Amino acid sequence: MKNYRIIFKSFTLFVGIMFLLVSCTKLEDENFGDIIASEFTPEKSDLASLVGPAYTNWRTLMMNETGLFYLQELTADAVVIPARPNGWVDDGLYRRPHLHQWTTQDAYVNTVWSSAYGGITNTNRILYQIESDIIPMEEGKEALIAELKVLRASYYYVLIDAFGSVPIVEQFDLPEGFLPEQSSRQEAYDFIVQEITEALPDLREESDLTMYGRFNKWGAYALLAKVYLNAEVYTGEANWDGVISATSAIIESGNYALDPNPEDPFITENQNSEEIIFAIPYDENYAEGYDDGFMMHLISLHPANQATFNIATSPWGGSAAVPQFIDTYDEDDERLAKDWLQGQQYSSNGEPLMGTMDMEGEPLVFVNDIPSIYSSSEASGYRLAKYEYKQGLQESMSNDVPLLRYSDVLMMKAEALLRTGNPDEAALLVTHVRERSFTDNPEKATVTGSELLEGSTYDYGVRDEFNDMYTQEGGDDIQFGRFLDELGWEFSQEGRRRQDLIRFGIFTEKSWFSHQPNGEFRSLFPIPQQELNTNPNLVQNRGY
Amino acid sequence: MIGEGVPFSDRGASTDWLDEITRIPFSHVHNLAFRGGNAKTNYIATAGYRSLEGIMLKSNQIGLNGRIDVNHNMFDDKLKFNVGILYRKYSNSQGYDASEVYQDALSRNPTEPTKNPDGTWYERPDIIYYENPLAQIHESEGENVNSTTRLNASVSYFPIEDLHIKGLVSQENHYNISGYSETFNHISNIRDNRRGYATRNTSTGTDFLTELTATYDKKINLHKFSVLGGYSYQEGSTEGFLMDNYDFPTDVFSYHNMAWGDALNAGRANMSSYKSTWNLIGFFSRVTYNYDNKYLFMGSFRHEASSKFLGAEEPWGSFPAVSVGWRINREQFMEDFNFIDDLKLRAGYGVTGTAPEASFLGVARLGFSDYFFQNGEWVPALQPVSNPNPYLRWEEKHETNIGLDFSFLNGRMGGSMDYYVRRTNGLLYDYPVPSPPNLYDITTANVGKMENKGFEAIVNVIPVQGEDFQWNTSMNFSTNQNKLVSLQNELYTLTNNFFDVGHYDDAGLQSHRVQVGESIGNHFGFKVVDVSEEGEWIYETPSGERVPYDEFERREEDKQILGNGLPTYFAGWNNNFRYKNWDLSISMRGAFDFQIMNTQRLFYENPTLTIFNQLESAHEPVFGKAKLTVPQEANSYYLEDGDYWKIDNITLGYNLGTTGIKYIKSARVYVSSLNTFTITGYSGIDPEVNRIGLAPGIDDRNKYPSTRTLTIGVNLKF
Repeated sequence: MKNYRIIFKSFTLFVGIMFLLVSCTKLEDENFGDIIASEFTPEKSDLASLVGPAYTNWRTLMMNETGLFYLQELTADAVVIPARPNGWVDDGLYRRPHLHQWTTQDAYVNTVWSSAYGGITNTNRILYQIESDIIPMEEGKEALIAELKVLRASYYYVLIDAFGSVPIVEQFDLPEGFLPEQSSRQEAYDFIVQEITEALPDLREESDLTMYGRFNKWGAYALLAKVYLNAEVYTGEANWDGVISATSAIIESGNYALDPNPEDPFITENQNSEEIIFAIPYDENYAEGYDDGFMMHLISLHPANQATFNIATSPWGGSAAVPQFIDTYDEDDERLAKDWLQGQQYSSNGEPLMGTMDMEGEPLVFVNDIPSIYSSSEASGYRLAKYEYKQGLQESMSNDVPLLRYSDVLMMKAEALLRTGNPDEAALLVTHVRERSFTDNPEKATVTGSELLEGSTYDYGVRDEFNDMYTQEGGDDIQFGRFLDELGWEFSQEGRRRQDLIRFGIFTEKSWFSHQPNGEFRSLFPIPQQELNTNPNLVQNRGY
Repeated sequence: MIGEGVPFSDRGASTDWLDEITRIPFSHVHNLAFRGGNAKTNYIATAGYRSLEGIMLKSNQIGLNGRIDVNHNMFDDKLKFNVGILYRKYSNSQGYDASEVYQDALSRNPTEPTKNPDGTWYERPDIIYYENPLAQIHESEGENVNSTTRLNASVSYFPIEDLHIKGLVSQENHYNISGYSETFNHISNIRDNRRGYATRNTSTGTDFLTELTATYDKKINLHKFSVLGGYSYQEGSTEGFLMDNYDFPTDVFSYHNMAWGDALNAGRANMSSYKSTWNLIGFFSRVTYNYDNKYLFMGSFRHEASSKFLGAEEPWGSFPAVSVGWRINREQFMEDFNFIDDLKLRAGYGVTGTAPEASFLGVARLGFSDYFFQNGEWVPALQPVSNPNPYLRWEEKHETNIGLDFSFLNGRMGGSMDYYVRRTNGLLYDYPVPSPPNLYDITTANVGKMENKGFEAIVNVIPVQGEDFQWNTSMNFSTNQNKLVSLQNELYTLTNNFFDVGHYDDAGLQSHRVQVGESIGNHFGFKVVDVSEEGEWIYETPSGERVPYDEFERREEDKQILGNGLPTYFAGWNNNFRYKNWDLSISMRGAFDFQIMNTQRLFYENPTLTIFNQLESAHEPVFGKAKLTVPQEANSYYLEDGDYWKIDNITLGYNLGTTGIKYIKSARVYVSSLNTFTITGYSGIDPEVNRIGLAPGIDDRNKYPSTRTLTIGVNLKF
């Protein structure tokens, strides 16, 4: 019996301890690295921090190594990344865009889709927080809501341009398991136009530093003009009058002007440019790195050019101009020399640089000749240099990237005038834009209406020494081809060439360099495979 | 070959880069153990020291360890104490990144000298990922010191004969401090115009465990049973900080005077710090019963919660298990089979749980990650860190197995056989999710269901057992089949039943496909079957059509399963021989039926890339027909069968027996070799490549090479 009493006592003790321990079932809940959203009450001073993420997605979207810039340029006729003696093969990552052979899994397609929708989801969340007063605001609420809606429309503009029919999501508090439906390209277009138009009256009008890098009323008009400019591509129905009225609103406001030099909007400290309407701000310290920094210098310059600009690291030497594109320039067009790094390269002390790979020991001279996308020399091709390379560049650049600028407003208006039968009026605007680029030969700046009606001087056709392939296609047959050339010269290296080629009907029709047409459906990119896999409501674009 | 017109620049020297960076390392290890005490109080103490050299220059490790365990019994053995203390310290002095140095040694042009005529290092700062490996070793310095202390104590109380109450606490502290510096002559400084670089990093972590159990054992006639109940609590934390700086006035400081780097003043030095904590709470019980050691039963239950699930709807998981056994040889009808020592049939079913690595995945969090330009200033932007998943729960592994243990002829032959089916439900993984509506396109969730089925057998035999000669041999064989059963749950649907993962090194497209109904580990890509006269690949599409290089579009639909990176069969064979005072052991193992992507060939076997070193085979005809002329690309040509049979360890020893020396009871000398010899058709260095994760079977181009080790040792007993 004694034993059982001890068993009983021991068990009572044990159960007692167990009860004490049950109170020790609290899960560790202290977080030292982030803020638990439910425990965070925003203050008025947090406003900029809370709104910021809606804009920062533009940085990755635009200048990531597989972002919009490369999607628009490498698929078109002006910029190429050929195989180099030091690499740039990467299993065809840079070759497929040029050959119009991208797949549903290519990084470009994923980066553009996910960073544009990242911006949209962030904007929806912030709009929800403002509208439901989670973010406290006493004044300026309507203006901020309008601004964010235009920002969201800017991401949708990228999406309809690249992918066509895409899902429109404008809410944050969605039911669980919600899978968005695809809107047609027309519906998405209507949504964008309506969002911008409705926002216009509430938007702020300041064009100074307070609204720099953000959408004010003029940024919204410029975006609207861009959307109208491509309306025929997006919907089948042109809206040139829309382009004229939106661009005229900006011109008449008197808030913007052309900078004296065509390069001014692209200098390192370009935030004071009079020409920039909306820019994406980058910075070597605050907005840097592989994901969302601006690394054009590393992607384009030759390693030896480290000495030219005293760069903190050695560049990788990839991207260059397509030689046929360079051949279109007038020899007196000052943009040719200013925008493209060419000829003998020098260190910052003026010593000539030497080749280090296939041309080791020979002078490093960038020539306007690239054998093929499959093979090239270290000296092949003029390098991208429109954005100023300052002395002492770091791994990322501090130049902001202008997305919408006054020169573009003038040229959009000119194109609409040209296409509505007013070539002479158009020519006046084009001449105005050209004047600053022909300072030594001012007479050459003048363009006439009839010249704008001519074809392109671009000598289209395959030029591939490696595969010994040549075709003669020319550009005479391109309607308003001369105007397309003007766009090429004024807006080279601005991440838009594909859009222009599509509007002028040649993106999937002409050959250049190693590229040959590979199907009309290539004017749209495929919806990323991963999105198709996860959202059964999505239908892949035709041809993919 | 340069003379034969290979477009490769001759720089006059002849350098064997691998030979330059490696050495024949020499290591020594010493261990000491003491035991002592009596029935009431006893102790064991061990101490060890080792000094190891790595195969690469300047890679050394010094290790020290010590352990003391003390047991004490009191009150007629009703109370038993155990106290243990352990200390371990390893310091690695190897600053440079070994895989980077190895890559540079492989890819470096062998005609380049190590040094310039003036004695400085020969460098090519104009080529990226191309640094003199020898200079990297000599112009850097580093040390990484890890130490661990563990204190554990337990009290056992036996109030009556069959009851055992036990309390246990243990705490382990980890401490790490490391430093690294590069001199003014290091490539990163020559190229990036820096004057020296240094970094320091330290972290500390604590793991605490307490466990309380009560066990009651009872034997009534032939019935024997036991009941156990318990509670356990575990807690862990990690914290640390790091900093770096460059542009120092002198090389002399190494990483010991961080403040004097000018990068700090220029705003370019980095610093960071972090801390995280977690805990795990468990209640558990177990019941066992057996009748006459003939019929055996065990049932157990665990109920656990982890802080990793904080904010999720169900942080608790319940994990039952049952097993039964039947010792057939104890049945009456088996009495005549007296050569059988043991024959036991058993079956079991059990569930175990796995929690995710990271904490706070269940709650919405905001973090600072970017800066936003606002009115001329850069403001930190606050944004969601991940897609929160409030439905996160334990991943559950349900295992059913049936097995047979046997032993015959007084242990001369024995072994076991097992068949198992393991179903993993709610597989934790970063699954692709649609964006929109999600902010990010991956969410950590419990989605997949996976099944593993397999058979395992082990047989131990003593073919010869004599006074002078004995031979023990042990063979094992196993096979495993795995299949992804589903990629769906109530909240998550994949339209196409698959997703792609993994990369072959630098190559762009993804390497493996994870698909419902298929095995994990499928290499998925383009299949080449031939080469044209011009040296261009000829592909075969999944429908069997041959397509020349220029017409092959490289679409998703053109990809196919090329092989699988997980072996289907494994086997091993270990032998121990003893002849008089000599002993010899040989252990061997192999894996069969799997494919490896040889990324060294993929990278170095392409003649078009002339800036790096190449394999001689780059200039041999592909498919025996023509030399390749097209750029590097990942395809089936570089996928090889990985089947191998490896003779791993051979040890030969001689026992001196009683030595005649007064204080030494016995002594044994031995020589031993590891990774001795491999029989394989695989052309890479070692076919034993990564088998973990969803993208197995990739032989990493920069993997630290496997080494053959030869050991000579002495065991002494005092």
